Amino acid sequence: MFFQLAFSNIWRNKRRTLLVEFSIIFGITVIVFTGALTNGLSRIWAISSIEEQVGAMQVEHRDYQKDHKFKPLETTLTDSAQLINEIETFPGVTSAFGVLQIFGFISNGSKATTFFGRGLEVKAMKQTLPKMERTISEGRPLGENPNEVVLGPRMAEDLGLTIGDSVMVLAQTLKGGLNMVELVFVGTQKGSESDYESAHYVEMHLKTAQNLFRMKDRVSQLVIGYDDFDSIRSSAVKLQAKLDRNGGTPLKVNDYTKTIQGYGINDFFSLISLVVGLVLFLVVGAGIANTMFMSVMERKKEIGTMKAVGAEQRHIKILFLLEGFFIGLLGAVVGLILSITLVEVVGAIGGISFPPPPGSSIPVTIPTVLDMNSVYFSLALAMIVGTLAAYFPAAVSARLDPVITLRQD
Amino acid sequence: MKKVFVYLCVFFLAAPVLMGMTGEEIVRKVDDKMERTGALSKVDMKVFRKDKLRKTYRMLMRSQGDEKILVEFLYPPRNKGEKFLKVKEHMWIYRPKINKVIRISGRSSFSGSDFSNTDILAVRLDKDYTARLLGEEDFNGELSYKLELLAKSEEVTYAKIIYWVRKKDLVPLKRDFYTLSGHLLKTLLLEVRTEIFDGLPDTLIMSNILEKNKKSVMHFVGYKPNQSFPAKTFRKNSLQRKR
Repeated sequence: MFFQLAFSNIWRNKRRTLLVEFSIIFGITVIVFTGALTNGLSRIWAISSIEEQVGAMQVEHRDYQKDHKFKPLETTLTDSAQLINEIETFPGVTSAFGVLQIFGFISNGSKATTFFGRGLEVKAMKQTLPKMERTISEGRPLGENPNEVVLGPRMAEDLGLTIGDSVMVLAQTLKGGLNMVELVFVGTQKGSESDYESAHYVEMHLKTAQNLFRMKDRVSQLVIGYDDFDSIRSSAVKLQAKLDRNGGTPLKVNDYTKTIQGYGINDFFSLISLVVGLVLFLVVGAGIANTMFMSVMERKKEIGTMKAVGAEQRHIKILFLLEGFFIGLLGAVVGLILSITLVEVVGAIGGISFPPPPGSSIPVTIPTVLDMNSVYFSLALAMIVGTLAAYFPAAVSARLDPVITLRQD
Repeated sequence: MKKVFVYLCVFFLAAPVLMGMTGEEIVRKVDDKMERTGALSKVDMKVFRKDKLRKTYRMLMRSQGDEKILVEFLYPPRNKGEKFLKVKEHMWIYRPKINKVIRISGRSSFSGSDFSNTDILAVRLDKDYTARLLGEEDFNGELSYKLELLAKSEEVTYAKIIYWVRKKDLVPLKRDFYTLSGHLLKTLLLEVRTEIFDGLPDTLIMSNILEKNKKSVMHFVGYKPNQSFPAKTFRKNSLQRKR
């Protein structure tokens, strides 16, 4: 009876209720659509990074992050080929390849500079990172020849190298002796790297790097490709559990959220959306509270009559709280239907195009991808704010004296 | 026939003795001559880049055999008080500005020069290398032994050294340093410019094959033999200033 009464009460002043509902719908749409844009932005960022650079997951020695600055070669994985075979049998894994993080000196024969970089298993890398070639700015990526090298653009410029030139690469082996290899420069690697990276980056074949460092079959990381973007994070947890069960070298599985540089900023964006949502609903809450207060004022006699015929304080309170809840729920449902439709329509037409960012001439199109967290958040927020905003008017109404209210004109 | 075979065997077995010293013996003798136990030396190091003098350092070097060496920088002011300590195979650098002792690798450059820490702080070659006499050849007009030194383990910085030693007095003349891959990496020329060491080299010129027009020259300008240093001189804990 209370539910029915509360629901019909909200329509007693249709214009006022509709105004409140519009504000809730607007708030919900802003939260859901912003969430979908943020989600779409982080999704295209993640997918392009996964396909170009970092893969879906990476496996490394548990102590690598802690010790790699001082013991980079010691915290590598042994028997990488066997480990790759094992990981490739894991459901959803499409391919995997080994990476050896390397460092040393590189020389054009008259000038030398320090470098850091990677030894890569090129064939498997092309399967795991299908869009890797996108990051080559000049020349081509590593090919079949094991004696090829790709450099950072600034390094190539500083050493005065043109495609096809030879370079000498000097490194200290795992045991400590010095070793050298002569390689042919085939291309430059671009990307969002810093100037320092551009001036110091070197990329070569994994086998060449392993021979240079005398580290047969050892890698710093295994980069893994996965067939379903949405289940990468849960699969990483499962893969970790599987590798833990195997024993041996302690391994750590990192999903793309940990390997994409600066990806943590998404949490910051989510926090901003959350704050915007809360502020919006504070305003909406004030609107609902105002509506409810007006309703209480208009219905004083009615409340007095209810009390006179035996209604208790809590019954009056519940009635007004339910009215607030229904206002929130109704706005949330309609708002969600509209905002989800909007997100899907914009998503279906490919997203929203933004002008080119500074330093680029290519416009950015951000797809909208429904973020269920913002859906749940806005739904809960609308109902909670609706109910809470009705609390004080409800409390006021419950305290009204029936004798006084009935005597008023 | 039997006699001929016996003569041949005797000839081949006795050949190294008849012909002179083995490579191992030569290297050991040169190491003995170059090792300065209980010495206090003053050393100038000049670093050349693009054939121009870029940096000049002055150092005080205290050595107790091959196992303990302490190098202290006197000049330039920027490096003054910096110390390099080697005890057996361990090496440390002390940075006075931060009052910290940091462990260093033998492969790292010695204060930005073309010398590595091992080049400066490890004196004897016979510990890390097995030597083979390749033959005798003319080196700048002087008859010299040409030796091939192969590292005893992969932990040694240079996998191979080709070493020229003057035959008449076993004075070292030149070392070519090679990587594991067989590439020539560095060349060290040993020259006698003063009589500070009684005819032994007092100047070391190191050039790096990877960089042209670059070299570092180390010149001994002062030498006091037969010094005794207190044990704490070569203690890692003695490097740091007490707070």
